Amino acid sequence: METYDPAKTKNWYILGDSSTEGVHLIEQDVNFNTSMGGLLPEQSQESLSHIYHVLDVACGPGGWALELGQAHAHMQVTGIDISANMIEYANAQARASGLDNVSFKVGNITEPLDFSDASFDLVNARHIEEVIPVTAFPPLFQELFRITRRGGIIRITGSEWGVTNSFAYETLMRQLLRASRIAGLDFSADGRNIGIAPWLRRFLRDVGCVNIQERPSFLDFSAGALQQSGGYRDLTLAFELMQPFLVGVGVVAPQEFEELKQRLSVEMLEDSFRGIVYTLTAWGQKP
Amino acid sequence: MATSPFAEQRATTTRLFNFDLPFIKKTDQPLPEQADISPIHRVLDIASGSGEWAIATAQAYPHMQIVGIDNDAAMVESARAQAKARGVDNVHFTLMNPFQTLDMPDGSFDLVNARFITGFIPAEAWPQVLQEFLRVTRPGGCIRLTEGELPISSNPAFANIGGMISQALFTTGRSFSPEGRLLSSTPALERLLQDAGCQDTRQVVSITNFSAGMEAHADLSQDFSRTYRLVQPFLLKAGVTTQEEIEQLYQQMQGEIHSDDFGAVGFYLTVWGKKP
Repeated sequence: METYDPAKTKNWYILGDSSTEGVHLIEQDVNFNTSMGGLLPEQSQESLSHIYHVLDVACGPGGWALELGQAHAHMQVTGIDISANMIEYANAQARASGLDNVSFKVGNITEPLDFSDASFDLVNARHIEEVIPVTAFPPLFQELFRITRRGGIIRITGSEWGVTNSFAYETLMRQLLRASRIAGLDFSADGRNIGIAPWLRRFLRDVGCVNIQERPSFLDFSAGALQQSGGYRDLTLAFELMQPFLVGVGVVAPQEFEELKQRLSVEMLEDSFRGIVYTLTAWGQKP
Repeated sequence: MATSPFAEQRATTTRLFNFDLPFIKKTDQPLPEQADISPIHRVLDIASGSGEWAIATAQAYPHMQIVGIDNDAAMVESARAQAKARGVDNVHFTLMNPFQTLDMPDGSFDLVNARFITGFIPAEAWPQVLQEFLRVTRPGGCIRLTEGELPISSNPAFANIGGMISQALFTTGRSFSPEGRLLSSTPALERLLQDAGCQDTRQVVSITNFSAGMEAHADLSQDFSRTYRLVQPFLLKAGVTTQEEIEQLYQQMQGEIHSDDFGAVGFYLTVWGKKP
């Protein structure tokens, strides 16, 4: 079985970085881009026309960056990710789609970033609470601030995963939150939520951003909802991939995990299944 | 049918959350998601409590007549006094149990509004209660529900009291959670409205950030200080804490919410649907 050892690998991907995780992240990109109402739904057309250089950190297989480059030919979009597998896939996608304004390279966001000061008009970070420890946030925001031009935008999106009426889902969430705490990925003050939401504005404020704003969104993956099938694929894959992490840090025995996973796929397909993921985006300007 | 977690305090309509009030205070828009408010004339506010929502709505929309119902006589009196003091005459408060058969004719209202009523009634009572809301709504009128999940906080005592409430509501059959982690009310709403017979249901999410330094902090920290004090007998009765533990946590929470590093965000969902 694979093991979870970020100290050795410098890779905090709690789901590993296999091609299956690639598939999961592509699914997640599509679901979140839809539920959030677009790629940069909070920016006006006027504001978009002044955005030329964009960086997406921890871009995974590149779904967001590729879509942005496709939608806005005037933008140069760069994605960085710690996983060479993800970057290889993302670059292949860019080539296959004939997008010469989108490129990807390997980069570790828990270390100083390999970009000059004031290189970007917009720097975007989505769901990085899943891939870097809490202690890596303040130095990362210093770096994001440094590479953003004056007047440019730093934008961060964090998700509180889901709230459901499924026993298996809620139990697995509790285990995930316990494991996250052990691994140092946990913002939660009480183990009931990921706990990222109150921190987004604070990270932006603490590095000196101004005009900070917030925008919530939600993804309804209840039975009969528009995003049920996407949510089902995304989440069953995520829990599948989570096994080495949860079992590895010792919050659940393999047999119990297997039973919960079976029960989850039954419960999520029942007509009575209800579930919503709440997400918050915060953005601010470098003065 | 309807005893509230707050019954012991006689504050039977103290709702868990008032996440929407700071936004209404700031924007004067109690129904921000409704594209056209001109056909809405008669509004029923369920468990109107001290009347904040009903009075704000009456003030924002002078063409409406708002009726607030509550089964706590002292609250009804206090809401009436508030309305009078503010010179608002298109709002009326009536003593009536909002979760039993309503003493009102069929089709009396264009909009029935129920905010943050999780905790007031058992989860299994919702379908019956919504049927009654629907009966007093006119065909083409609207039922509007707003519920929140626990506030997400970076401060442990505040977050832990929320967790106890969640656990106690689960234990007493008042939340939609299968095991008590969160309330799970928000994902339940749309289907409840559909099962009651509503059509064209829609959902919209909002947040209130009431961290230290935010505009909403003063009002909501005061609100939570009050609610989390009034809820203590319910928590003790449900067996999720001890007197000593809750007193200590509450003291710690008071320190947290007045500190510079207090961080808290409430997500809430408004769901509405039409009566065919």
